[in-house]
Amino acid sequence: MKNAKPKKRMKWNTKCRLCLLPSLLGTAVFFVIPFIRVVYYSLIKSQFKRDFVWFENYAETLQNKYFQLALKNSLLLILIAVPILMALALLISLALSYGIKWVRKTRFAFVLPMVIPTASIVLIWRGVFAENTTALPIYLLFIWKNIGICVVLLTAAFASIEGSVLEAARLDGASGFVLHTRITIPMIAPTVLFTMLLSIVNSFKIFKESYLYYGTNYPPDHSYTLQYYMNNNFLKLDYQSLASAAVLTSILVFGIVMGGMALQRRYDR
Amino acid sequence: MKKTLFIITGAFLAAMLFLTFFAEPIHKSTLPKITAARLERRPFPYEFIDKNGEQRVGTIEKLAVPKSMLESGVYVIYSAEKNGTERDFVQLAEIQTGEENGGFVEIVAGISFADKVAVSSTKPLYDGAEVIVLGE
Amino acid sequence: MRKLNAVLFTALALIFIFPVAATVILSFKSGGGLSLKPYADLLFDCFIFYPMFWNSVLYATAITVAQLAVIIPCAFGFSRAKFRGKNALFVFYIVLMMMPLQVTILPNYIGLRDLGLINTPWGIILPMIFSPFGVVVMHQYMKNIDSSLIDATRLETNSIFRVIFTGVIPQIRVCVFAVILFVFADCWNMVEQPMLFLKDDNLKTLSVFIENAQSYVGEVLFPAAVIFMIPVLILYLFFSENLEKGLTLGGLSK
Repeated sequence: MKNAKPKKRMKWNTKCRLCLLPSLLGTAVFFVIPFIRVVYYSLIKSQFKRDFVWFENYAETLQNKYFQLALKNSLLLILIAVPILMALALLISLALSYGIKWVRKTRFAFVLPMVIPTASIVLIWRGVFAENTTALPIYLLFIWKNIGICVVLLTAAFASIEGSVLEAARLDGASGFVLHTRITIPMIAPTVLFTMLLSIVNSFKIFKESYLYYGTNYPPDHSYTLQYYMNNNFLKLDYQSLASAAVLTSILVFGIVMGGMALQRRYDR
Repeated sequence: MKKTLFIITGAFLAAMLFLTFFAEPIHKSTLPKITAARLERRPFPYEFIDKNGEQRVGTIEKLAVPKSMLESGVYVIYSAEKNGTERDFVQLAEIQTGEENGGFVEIVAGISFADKVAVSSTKPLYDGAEVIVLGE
Repeated sequence: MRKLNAVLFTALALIFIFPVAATVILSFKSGGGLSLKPYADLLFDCFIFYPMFWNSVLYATAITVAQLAVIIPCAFGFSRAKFRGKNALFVFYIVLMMMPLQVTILPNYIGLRDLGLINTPWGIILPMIFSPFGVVVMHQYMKNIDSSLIDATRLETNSIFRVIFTGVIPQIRVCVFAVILFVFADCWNMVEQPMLFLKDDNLKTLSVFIENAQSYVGEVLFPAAVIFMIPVLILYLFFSENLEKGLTLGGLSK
């Protein structure tokens, strides 16, 4: 019996590790190994002349005016659309948290935009915004799609704040604007950060909506984002530009995620 | 609530399944069915001067259609893709006619020898109609 | 305050539902009036619609089911197994989850081409099975479950399947439903992969149909959009009660 126990524990741990295996294998085969190949492609001259040119491709890409345009648009989307989304979501969540009953019943309506397939919605969107020549339709589509999940997450977080803290703050005289900016929001900071991170991620995924909306590989300049750049290079079989752009984008996303997580760790204390 | 959802899902899937197999046959049953054939060459008389200078009458084969067909219109069959699938259509041919002989009228222009025309049809045809070709 | 709330709520709900409702209403429009002709045009004149519909259903279902078999053990492993670099590996999963599709699509395409899976259903299904989204979400949820039930199950059996099945899954039911819904919706919505990885129209999905249908005869776009929405809506309604009980994904707290 004494010998059996440590043996059993080791077996258990191994079993747990084995649980990870299918997922790890699949991820390696379909994501990791191909990604390494992409990095390789980004370092060579062309598919036919596989000499290493190291960072030449990167320099070329960074100087390419289309890449710069794409980068600018992608960043603009993050820097403008996401804060607006967050502000709206926070306002709505705050207002709704005063009547928690309503929120429970409305969760259906809020998550609906996330679940409805994009292809169905762009038709209406195109009809409504037919004469618009700015990037507004895409921004609005992004906000429409994502505000649901943000509100759901934030209201859940609001609901989990202990009422006593708010009571105490109110007794101290804080109310309205001050109350919320100084007390409530900081208390749910982790969720706010997570929601912001999620929104930034989704701002990249909005490409599908943008692509279906414009119906072409070459949208107006204001909507030409990194994904368009990469997609077009893929279709042109310009694997070098695509690879270097992909690696650069990964670095960008990686930086954002790391930054977000570092911020979270600070708030956790 | 769940029960109605199950019923709705079942009905929806059953309807889609039914349509998957029967939509095309149903559509085809509404279409005219035609038999197709190429135009025949028929002998036509023509006058010519032979080497002796005399007028002679010979025959020459020309593309021709029965006169009855001219009245209802000569429809040429062509294939085109509509809504993702290849289908057969008919087009009203603009033809120039020539002489008439023995119930047949010569076709001067408008239809080539390679074209297939609708010989018979189960329903009235019109320009651009979709049809089912039954074979020659 | 209550009244303001009610007004706000109604206005918001209307804004969210408006595009959906508008699509449904417009699907019955035919030359100025309401009729069933668009649906007739779609259902009886676009035969490519049906293979594409069933392809969408097939791919989404296959991917969702297979994902469950992959990610539940994986999330469990992340929460119970002990080894060095576990956290780093999980962070890797998170980063992978956040990558935009275009970054992974070229690697995917090349990998599939070398495996000979281009223009086959597997080319669509296999990569999506290993999407890291489910692992991350489920692992977060698993952090908050009761260990005692798991330990109790462990006393009875050493088979890890049994432990997961009877000890873990009942507790994370809500999370499983949420993941099923989002994964299905994500696959149902797939557009880039069918367009790039598939060549035969018979293998493509309904999302591609709506792209192609712009040039079709008859007003088939809106009916197609409506039918396209139905399965996801059904699934959503199916799970909505369960989801209302607890849609807290929490933060990425360590």
